Amino acid sequence: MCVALLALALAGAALAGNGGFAPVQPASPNASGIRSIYWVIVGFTGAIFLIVEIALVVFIVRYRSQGRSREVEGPQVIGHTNLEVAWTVAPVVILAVIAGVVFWKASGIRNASATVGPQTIRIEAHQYYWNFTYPNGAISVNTLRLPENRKAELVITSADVAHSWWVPALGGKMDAIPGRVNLESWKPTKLGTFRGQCAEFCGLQHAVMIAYVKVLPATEYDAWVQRRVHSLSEVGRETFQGVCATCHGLSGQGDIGPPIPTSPLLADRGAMTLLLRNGRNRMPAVGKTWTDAQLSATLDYLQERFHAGGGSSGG
Amino acid sequence: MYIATSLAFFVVGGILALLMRAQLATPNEHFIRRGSYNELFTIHGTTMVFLVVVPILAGFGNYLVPLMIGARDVAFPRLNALSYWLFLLGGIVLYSSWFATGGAAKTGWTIYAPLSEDAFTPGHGVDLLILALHVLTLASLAGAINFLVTIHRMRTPGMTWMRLPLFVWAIETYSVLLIAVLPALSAGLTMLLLDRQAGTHFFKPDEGGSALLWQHVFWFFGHPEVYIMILPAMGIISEVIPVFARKPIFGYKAVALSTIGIAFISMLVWAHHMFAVGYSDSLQSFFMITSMLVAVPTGIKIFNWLATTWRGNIHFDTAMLFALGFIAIFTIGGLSGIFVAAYPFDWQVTDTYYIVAHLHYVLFGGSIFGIFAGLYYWWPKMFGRLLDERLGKINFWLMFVGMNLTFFPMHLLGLLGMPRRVYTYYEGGLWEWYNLVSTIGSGIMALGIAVFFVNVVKTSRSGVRAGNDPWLGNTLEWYTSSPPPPHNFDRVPYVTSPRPVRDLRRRISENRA
Repeated sequence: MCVALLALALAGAALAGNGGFAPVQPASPNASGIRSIYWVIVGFTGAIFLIVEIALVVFIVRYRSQGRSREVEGPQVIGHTNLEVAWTVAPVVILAVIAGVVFWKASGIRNASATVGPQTIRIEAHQYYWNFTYPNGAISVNTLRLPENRKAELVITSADVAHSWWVPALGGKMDAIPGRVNLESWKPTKLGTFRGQCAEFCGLQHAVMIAYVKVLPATEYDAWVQRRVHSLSEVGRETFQGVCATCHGLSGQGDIGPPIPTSPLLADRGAMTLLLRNGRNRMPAVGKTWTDAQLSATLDYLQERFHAGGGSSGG
Repeated sequence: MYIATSLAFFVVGGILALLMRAQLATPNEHFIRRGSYNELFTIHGTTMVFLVVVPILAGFGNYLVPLMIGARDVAFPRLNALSYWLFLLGGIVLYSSWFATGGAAKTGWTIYAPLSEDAFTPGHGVDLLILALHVLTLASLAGAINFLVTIHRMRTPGMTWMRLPLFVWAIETYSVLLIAVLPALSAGLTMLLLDRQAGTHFFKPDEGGSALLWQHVFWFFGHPEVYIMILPAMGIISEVIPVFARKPIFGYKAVALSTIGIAFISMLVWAHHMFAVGYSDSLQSFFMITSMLVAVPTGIKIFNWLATTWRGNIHFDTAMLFALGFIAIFTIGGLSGIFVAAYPFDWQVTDTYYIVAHLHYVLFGGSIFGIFAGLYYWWPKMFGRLLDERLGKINFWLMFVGMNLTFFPMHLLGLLGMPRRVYTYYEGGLWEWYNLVSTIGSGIMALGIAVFFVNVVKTSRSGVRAGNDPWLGNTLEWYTSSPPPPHNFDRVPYVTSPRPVRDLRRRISENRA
């Protein structure tokens, strides 16, 4: 049965590229380090798996009772010291080798080495979105831009409960824990958009706390960061889509939270500021740590979209 | 009573799991509301750990330890009754939390702070969960003390430590572990309750507390808890395999010592649940090495069981099928444990479906298969009638196939990037396929478990009478009648080896000859 499953699994792997039989295709030295550790362990544990399961099947078939009565006993072997020492020592040796490989690879996995100076990016996790702050103060929500082939130093923390920052193609998890600051550095080596998701259960909308990382050519990245720092309207729109829409719907129509366009608070910037900064009832304090710029960009966006037109539904 | 109550909770916990699988069968499904889904996995986990596996093993221990060591009863029968009623009360408190304001707890069975604090999870679900766990902790502690006193003080003449049945060794170790780690859980729960109700801030970072402290306290208890759930199941396997292979256990001393070894190491590995929290490399290395070390005594057990079947006269009664299934499946769970001990790889898979797969290979393929082996093996002793073998085999194969179909694809989902504890997902393709296979598997498994209950009902009236010793067993419980009288034994033979009943059978046949 298990062998059949394994065969099925391997056939599936062959069909589907990796199909979940190995960590996703890496796009950074961080992730490929993890993948190489994976294959080393697969080698050793695969061998042990085969030894155990084959021995089990062979013994079951070979020593089945075949109508012998229960009275018939097998040889009364109560142990074999050398054999037992062997299957104690052999695993120790195998584990030592695996641990050795891990030590050898580990440092390059958490922190990629790169000659080009690091970009320090602050990642702040919230219920239920990611806020990214770039070195020049530019802000983005849920979609992080990173330059290709440059080291990016990630400063990871949380504004409320524990979350976990995870983009499988670029690296392993680093928890975002309130009251702690965690550091790691990545060096993306492939262009493209990579999917990530919060990996520490963080409440009602944990399942939709998804992040994307866009790896851009370095020059394009520089240009983007320069542009973003001046375009607050984009920050406002992204904040609405990434923060508010999760519970109030993409057109503010209401879902877990009430509809936005009909809210009596909408016209009152003071009340809205209080609401976003402190939360109320089931609404988390989503804007607790926003800069004034992000807060006013968001309020501008909300008013422009839902209020200026006399409560139009927007598009 | 323990066993019956635990089986009832097993059915309830299983239904919660089936509801979750139904929700995840297809992407973006709306079968269950998101808040309810979060309640489901919280209560499913809590139920299976605290209301099913731990108490059912206590039930086996309660019934079997006195019989196996030739005693009349446990040392403190009244304390034993108290444990049972506290256990039932704890279960009722937990299930009453569905009706609390704000519904049942939605924090996962790990109750991570600060999510579980009043600011983020108002309502009384978490408070009731804490209360239930406090009550259950008391029940387990009283039970553990009872087992230890019984095993230490009430062994029949001749039963030295090296003649103790391996299941009793497992219960001894289980009890020591419970006493060692449950107080940590109680302390943590009390701190959390004070945070929620009395305005303290042990786990509130905004007010100078530490969110990580909860994780340390919880896993200091939580990891040994895994071994609390698996060691007695291994004890059952160590009893069943020799009897049905018609051979003595291979390496009795090694198997007994490896039980103690696993328990000892299990108290030094807790932070491997926290590799992603960002603590220092040297600590991660320490916890990697200790976690990998658990594999050594575990491997010893697996190899010794295999060697026990070597050149045996193997009878495939259902109990033996479950025991052999245990070896086949638990090996996978043990080996995936080596993957997650390697901390950089763990950064990739922790808190994903890979972990869900790993823990179910250990706790379902391990503990639950061990428990079913025990049920089929000792059922005739408890009730005097054998369970039906044909239904038993159907039960086994449905559970074996269903178990692998349900949990194997979860490894792959985890590697593809699916986190655990998500009420839905949006990806099609492989995500959808693997989830669908898993849901189908869970249905097959449920069917297998249903067959077990059919078997119980069917044989309760018409089952074949077992006699004292239907399997030609080794240990003292097979010496007395089935079911045993209230005082267990009229007289107990002097014990001269780990297999007193076999010794007796041989003496009788020699006298005859």
